[in-house]
Amino acid sequence: MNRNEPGADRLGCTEFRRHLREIDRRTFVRAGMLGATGLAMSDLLRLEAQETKPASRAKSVIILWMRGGPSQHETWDPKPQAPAEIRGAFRDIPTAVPGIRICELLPMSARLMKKWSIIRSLTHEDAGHSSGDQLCFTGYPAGANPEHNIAPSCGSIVSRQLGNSNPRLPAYVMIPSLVPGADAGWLGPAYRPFETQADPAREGPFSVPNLQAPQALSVSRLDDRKSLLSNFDGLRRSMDQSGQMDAMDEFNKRAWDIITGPEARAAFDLDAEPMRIRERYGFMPEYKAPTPDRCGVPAWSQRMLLARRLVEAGVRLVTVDVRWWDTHFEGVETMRDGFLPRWDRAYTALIEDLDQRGLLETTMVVAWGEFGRSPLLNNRAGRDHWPHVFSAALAGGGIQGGRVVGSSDDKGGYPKENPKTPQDVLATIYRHVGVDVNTEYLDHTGRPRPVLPAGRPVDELF
Amino acid sequence: MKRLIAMALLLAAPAAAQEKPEAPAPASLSIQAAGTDDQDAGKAASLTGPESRLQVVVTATLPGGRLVDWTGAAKYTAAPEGIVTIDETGLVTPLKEGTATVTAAAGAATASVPVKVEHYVDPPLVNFPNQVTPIFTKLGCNSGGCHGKSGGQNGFRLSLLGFEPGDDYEYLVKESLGRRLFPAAPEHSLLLMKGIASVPHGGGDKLKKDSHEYRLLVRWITQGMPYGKDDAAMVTGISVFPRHRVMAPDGRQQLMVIAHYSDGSAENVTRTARYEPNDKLMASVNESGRVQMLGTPGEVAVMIRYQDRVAVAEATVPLGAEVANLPPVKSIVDDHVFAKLKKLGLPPSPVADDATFLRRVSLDITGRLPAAEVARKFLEDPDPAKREKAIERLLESEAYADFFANKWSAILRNRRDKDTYASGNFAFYQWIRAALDQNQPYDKFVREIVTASGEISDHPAVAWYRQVSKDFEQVEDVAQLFLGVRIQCARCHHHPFEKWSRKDYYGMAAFFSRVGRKEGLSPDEQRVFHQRGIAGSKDPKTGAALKPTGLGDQPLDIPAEEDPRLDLANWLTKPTNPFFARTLVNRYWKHFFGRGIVDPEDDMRDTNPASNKELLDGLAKKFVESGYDLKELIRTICRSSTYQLSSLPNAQNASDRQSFSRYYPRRLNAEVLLDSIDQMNGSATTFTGMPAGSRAVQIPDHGGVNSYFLTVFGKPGGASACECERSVDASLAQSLHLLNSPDIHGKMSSGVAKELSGDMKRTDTEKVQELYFRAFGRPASEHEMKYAIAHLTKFEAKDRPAAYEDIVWALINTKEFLFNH
Repeated sequence: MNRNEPGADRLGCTEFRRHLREIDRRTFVRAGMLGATGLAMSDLLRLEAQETKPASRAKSVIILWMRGGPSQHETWDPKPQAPAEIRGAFRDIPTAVPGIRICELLPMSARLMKKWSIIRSLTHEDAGHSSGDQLCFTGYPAGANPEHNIAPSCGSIVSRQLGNSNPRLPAYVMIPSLVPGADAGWLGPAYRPFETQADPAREGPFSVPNLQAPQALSVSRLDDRKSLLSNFDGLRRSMDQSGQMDAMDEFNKRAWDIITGPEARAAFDLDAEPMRIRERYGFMPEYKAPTPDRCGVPAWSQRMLLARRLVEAGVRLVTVDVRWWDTHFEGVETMRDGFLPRWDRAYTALIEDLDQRGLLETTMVVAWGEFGRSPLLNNRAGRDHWPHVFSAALAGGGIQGGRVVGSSDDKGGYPKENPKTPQDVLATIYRHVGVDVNTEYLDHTGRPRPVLPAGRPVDELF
Repeated sequence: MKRLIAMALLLAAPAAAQEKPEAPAPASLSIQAAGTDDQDAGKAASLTGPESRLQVVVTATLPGGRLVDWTGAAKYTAAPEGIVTIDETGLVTPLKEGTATVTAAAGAATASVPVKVEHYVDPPLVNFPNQVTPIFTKLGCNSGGCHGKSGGQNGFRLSLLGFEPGDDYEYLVKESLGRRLFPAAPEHSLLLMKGIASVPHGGGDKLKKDSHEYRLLVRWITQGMPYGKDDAAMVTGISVFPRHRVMAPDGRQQLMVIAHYSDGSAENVTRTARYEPNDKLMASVNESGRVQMLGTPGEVAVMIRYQDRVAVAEATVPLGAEVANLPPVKSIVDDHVFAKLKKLGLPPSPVADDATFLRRVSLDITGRLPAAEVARKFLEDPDPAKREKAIERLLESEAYADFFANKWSAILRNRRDKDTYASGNFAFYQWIRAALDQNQPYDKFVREIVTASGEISDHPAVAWYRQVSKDFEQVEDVAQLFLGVRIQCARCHHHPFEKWSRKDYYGMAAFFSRVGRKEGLSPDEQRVFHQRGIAGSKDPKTGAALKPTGLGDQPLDIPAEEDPRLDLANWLTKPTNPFFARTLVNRYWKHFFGRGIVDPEDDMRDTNPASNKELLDGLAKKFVESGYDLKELIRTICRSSTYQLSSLPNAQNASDRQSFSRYYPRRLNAEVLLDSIDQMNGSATTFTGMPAGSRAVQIPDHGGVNSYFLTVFGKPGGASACECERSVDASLAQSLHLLNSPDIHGKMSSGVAKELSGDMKRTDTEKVQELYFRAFGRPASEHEMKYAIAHLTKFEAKDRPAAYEDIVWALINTKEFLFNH
């Protein structure tokens, strides 16, 4: 953290104040402030216990990846008191939780405030799209080429350490295609996400290539192929000590189940969803960027519905690409017309849907992007990349709704209280799903690397 | 007194009995306690202070001469009593001052060693680096997963594996207002309470209360946490006994480790050293240094670590079966491999048949399947030299250069991070390919890369410097690629597994200290040149100045106008360089056999020895003598009977994974697999920016061509000097793709199936044979033909294409197709 940055009117260095927040015995002894923080011993013990016992039941995660970096001022951290060139064009509105106010263009989210929470003090130093992506997905800084994962994404780690929860579905899915940061890095391509490739944007049937048998192949023909293969595949497995052949056989078996069985098809079959639910998420068409230098917004509402279906069916971690929040130019217009109504509708649909099905307890939903946006509007009514403070919306997985963790300064430029890092969010995800963050995997130089090099779960949300 | 001893022995007997190895009574015994040479048997040992202890090793010579470890089976006595006690595992602990004789007995055979106990009552001050730091290493406190990682764990850090005891002392004693240690009530020290988990400790109870380590730490704290005198003796090295032993597949061996100090003294540190076998499937070692073999014949090494020193103990586990009817010796490879197999008593599988051989060698040399016609002719050819001729033909083909250029291009990091890099990358690729095609000697190849200067347009190898742009990357890549040494770890601290220190690392870095860059003529490309000046580097921690030094060699004084990279190239390529030739030979060995003689192939160290040292040395020597001739090396390998062995195991060699008693099958890599499917099927894949008809193996650089197939099957991104970036692991996505993707379905419906179904001239049987020759280079068996025909006849004439598609699809999904076996 840069101690010379603006906002240095805060008390003490960040390291010190951070330790005040980290509830542990050691800090109290050092700071001698046991009484002043108002924590009871029971809280202390509860938090300590939480730390040492990771969750062990099958849990899942949906990451709503707001690629491009959503503006905190126009979403969950409005600054109504700031001058117009910082505040932007929108006002704030109250939510169902007294004291929390969000952007006026998110009324449905405001009404649902009791179910989801906000971190307003996320911070890091990397202002590049892909390099920011790498940090937020892996917890490690990007390598020389930020488009290329060196370190594994959280989904790859989950897939590697916990495996499939439903053997007929992949453990880690990306809707629709891989983004930088979401790949498997040094864990190897076996832990890449399964990409749906197809994009569920419109009404009507949706099918994933590779999962659906082509029209020309009837069930009996598939059976024929299977039996042909087993008659031709006579190579003795005993010759292979490396386990490669056995592994392939195992995956083939699963693949057959997926192709011929109903489960995977059902999970991906959006058509089976009642139309009123599909409409609740919304069918807002794509927002085409009026000029090439502005951002468009693909029609991603139905992608969120697909994510719900997948976690319901047993996929452990689904990453949904809900881009492209990079509002450098005419951001106001794009947010008003392209993003916010779409987001408001689909996000609240997802949370309500999970809640009604009883899935919210076991499904953590994390919505964030790789950074925030600059407090000062630029000369084209847009905002530029700003990693110094940004927000994230989290719900489910035991997270108590209606909380705000941390805060940014009055301009929305730097963390004011309780700064959090992307690694903290990842640590929260890992703890929820049951990954041991101290496990090490070897990278390509043979060096052992822990799952997370730093970061602690955001206990304030629970 | 004697009765008491007898009773004690009787009581001890049941515990000892379960340890007894199955063998006849020993003819003689020897006991080792103080030295690791054979002549140190019976040499007197000493114990200093109440927490000291030592581990003995008892070796029995059986009738017939075989040596077997008897440490756990001997009966121990100490006389006179009360000075030391010895348990059934051979651990000697002091009781009071004096000298006692420890005797091990097995039947009539005995062996004795005098043990002197000193300073029991007035022990010397605990020496922190020599006695306390090793405890943290032994218990795992300072491992890279916990307090040893940079930043430590939960606010407490230690130096990695105890490499910097001075730092550890600061952290422990002085940091955090000294709250970790409590000299007034030592057992209330946080260090101990955490260690035994009497307060919550993420690491659990690593330290056991009242254990040896616990008592030593208490004594150290009671003494006021001394560090030790500045002139106190330091560890200069460790040695292990026995250094090498032949063992039964279920055998056990107790190791003994001696630490040697700078003042000439020695200490038995067996119980404090850490042990790690280099193949966990072959052997396991407990914390007392007792090795347990796990049933597989072969060679295994155990790395021993104490402070910043390492040593290695090796075991040979023979199977002891009869090795007769060996295939003929065709090259020096066979000489060495067969010698090892005889020593291990591990019979090899027979030589593979012609069809298997041709497919295998075509894939390994050119990354292509043999064409159906070529395969047919080969099987019918009566020429006894046909295999050698096939090898020659393959080495002369264009596809050889394509395939090996693909291999080198990846580890030389030929990567298109920006579109403007494309022309430079293509030039680099062409340069690599031409070097292989013309069989340029390997030493010149490496020299041209390491000393590359100027523009890419003049010297394409300059592209390497574009990707490997920082000096630490240059050191690490050169070490990993050309020396087979993973020196990365030594950049910040002492290497955990090897003798390399920061001094060695920065000595190598000094060769790259005068590399200058200027903007070049092509966009985004730089001109690389030598900046006049004395080459040297600095150790970032100590600030010590270092001259350019080849690993393990002498520092060089290089004049300012001389490019130090020339000196580096000279050092790399001189015939006496212990790493250069061995690394290349090992790398190519792994290419052809799936496993290096040292594995991983770029991780050569004392603690990871070769599974056949004579083979590695012999091949390296021949390689140097041939003038670093790569094609000649390939000839030597492929002509050997060893390379041509079948992959089918016999009764004894199924679990062999390192002695090359048979061929180890492995999956085709991504590019070869895609090309093979296209070749067999008569289809083609288009790659962006490449001319029509290009094969996947010919893609010149990485990151420019996006292919889902190639990515899913593990094509490397060219982001690492390690061939391990390429993966052949299975995955669900791969299975789904091969079984069901539109990509594969599309190929099936437009390829050979269509052609054959429309061919009215040939019979179904002939056509099925054609498919088998295309896929496997062999005719279909009776069973296979029967099934194929049965399938075909189920379909009406108009649906014949579909029937053939099914067969082609099934063939490419068999393991026989997907694997090189």
